[in-house]
Amino acid sequence: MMTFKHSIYRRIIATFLIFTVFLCVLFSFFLLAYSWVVEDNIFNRFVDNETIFISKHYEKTSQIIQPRMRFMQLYNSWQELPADIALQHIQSPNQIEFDLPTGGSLHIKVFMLGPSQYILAADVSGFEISKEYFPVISIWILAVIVGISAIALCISLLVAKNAVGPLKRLTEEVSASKNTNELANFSNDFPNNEIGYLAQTFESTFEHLQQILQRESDFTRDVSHELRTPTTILKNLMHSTSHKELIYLNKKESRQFCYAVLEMEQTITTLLALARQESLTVERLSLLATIEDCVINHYELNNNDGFLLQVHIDSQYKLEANKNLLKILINNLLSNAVRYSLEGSLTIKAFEHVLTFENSSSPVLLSDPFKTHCKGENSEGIGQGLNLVKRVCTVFGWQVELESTESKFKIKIILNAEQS
Amino acid sequence: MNIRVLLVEDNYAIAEQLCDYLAEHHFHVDYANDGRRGFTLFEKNSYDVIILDLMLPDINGIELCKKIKDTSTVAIPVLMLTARDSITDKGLGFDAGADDYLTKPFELEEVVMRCLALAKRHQLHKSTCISIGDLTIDMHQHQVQRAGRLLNLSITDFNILLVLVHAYPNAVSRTELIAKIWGDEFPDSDVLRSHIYTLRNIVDKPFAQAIIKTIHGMGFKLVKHDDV
Repeated sequence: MMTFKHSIYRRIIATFLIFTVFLCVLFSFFLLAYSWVVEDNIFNRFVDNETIFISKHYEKTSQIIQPRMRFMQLYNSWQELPADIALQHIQSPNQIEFDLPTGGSLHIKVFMLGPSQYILAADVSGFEISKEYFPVISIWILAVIVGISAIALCISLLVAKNAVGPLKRLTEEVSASKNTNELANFSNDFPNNEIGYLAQTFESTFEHLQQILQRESDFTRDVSHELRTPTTILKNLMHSTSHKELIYLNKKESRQFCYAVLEMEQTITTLLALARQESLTVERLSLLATIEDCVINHYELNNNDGFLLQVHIDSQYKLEANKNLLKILINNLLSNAVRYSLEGSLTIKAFEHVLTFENSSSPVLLSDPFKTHCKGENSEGIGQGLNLVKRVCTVFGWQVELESTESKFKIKIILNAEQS
Repeated sequence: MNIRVLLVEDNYAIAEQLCDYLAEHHFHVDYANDGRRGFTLFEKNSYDVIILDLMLPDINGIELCKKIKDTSTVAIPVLMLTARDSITDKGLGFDAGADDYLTKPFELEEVVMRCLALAKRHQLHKSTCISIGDLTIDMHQHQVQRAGRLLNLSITDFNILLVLVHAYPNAVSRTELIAKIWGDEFPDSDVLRSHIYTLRNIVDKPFAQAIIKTIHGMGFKLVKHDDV
């Protein structure tokens, strides 16, 4: 079962739920606000009607009467009202509804009776039903929100399942398949919609990829056979007694022949390894153990007892690389040192993120020593060695530098900090 | 040790070079240029090692290897010799029962060494004593003799020697040796050096020629006098 940090499935459900709860809360507020406004307006209308009644009675009789309803009272001035109401009026002269210290509210209407100003105040505390019902209504509103949210959750699950289900299945099938062969005809199981089209596209892409990989595999296999077989014959000829009897080759030519064969072998091995998909697989390797393995199995080095090899690498030094390619890289550099070192010595060091191979050598004066077919004056090879080293380093994302002085030849490989 | 080898290789030039080189090293070699002849020779004779090319004109080397392994009553080691070096190809070879795998182009000397190692491994099951030159090691008795003299080794020194004997004629790297003797609980890097020193004092110093050879400080291997 795959898990994603930002799953579309969960996002659909969350969006549905958040939107539903938001709508419910918004409408609940509207409902409560509406009931409060209606209630207040009814009280205000009662107060208005009573002022009209008192005013008409005054016009007819010139007498000021008390309001008919018990919860209303007529005042001569603001000072007659409770002190905090008078204070609230001073702070907000247009206010018509005032909070009482007891928790209720007072609705007020100012009007003229003849030359004098009167204030009709209605204490509506006993009639405020919305306040009284609010705790019960709140529970009901909450219950309705929960109910609607539950319905929304069910709908969102259904929608998410229908919308994301095929996409999820597609994702799981693609991620669960270990190789592209397992994805053959898998798009037939998907419906004829956008997801089905995506599955078909995946399938055709995988098929195409599979064909490319097969072509690569067949090609490298055929090339491997066709090139390695004659190289084997040449290499064995190089070591056999019959070669020494080849009178038409002088010592220099004989050495050139040997180097060319060995370099051809290196080139075939490296290029075929670089061409293969399997070379992209990396693992955490002990650098010292890999170098030890290369040294004890290096034919030229093991047949040169006088060669002085010094290795300064911590046994705990680890790096991420493809084992086969790393061994090819080390073998190339070992062969290079064995063939071209003047004093027959090589020092290998790894410090922080830099791996160096240093040997004594005559100066190498080349503008781009890592270019293919580029070789020094004293080189008797085919000029591929350093180019192959660079190509292997490029695969791992490492930088390679050459430092050549009057007497030293140093290859510096700058490893990735996070890989080593 | 006279080792009998069956070489099945369709390329005449390579076969000729191999036959000559192996014969020079006192191997008795029978040669077949295709799979059918190879299988006939295998049925008629007994061999210590079979060197088998993967690509043969009549039958696939993998199939021939399976056929040999299925038919044979004794486990004859098969050294697969091939121009294919991908992990898939190697896996197919080992699945078919190949005991070792050598990719072309190879060193003729390495073919000899691997044949010796395979033949020795083949014979290992028959005896508890192994002899390399004048060194004899008895694995059951935990006894080591050189030139007839009994050598008194500590348990760790004996185990180090045993690893080198099992690897012969190949070399063993320092890291591999440390892992095999101490596993993950290796105390410090000087301990191996100290053990090799004491081992050499007992196994090499009293004798004219050393049998333990250091490979450029990176590993060790045993060498017979005639190997040197």
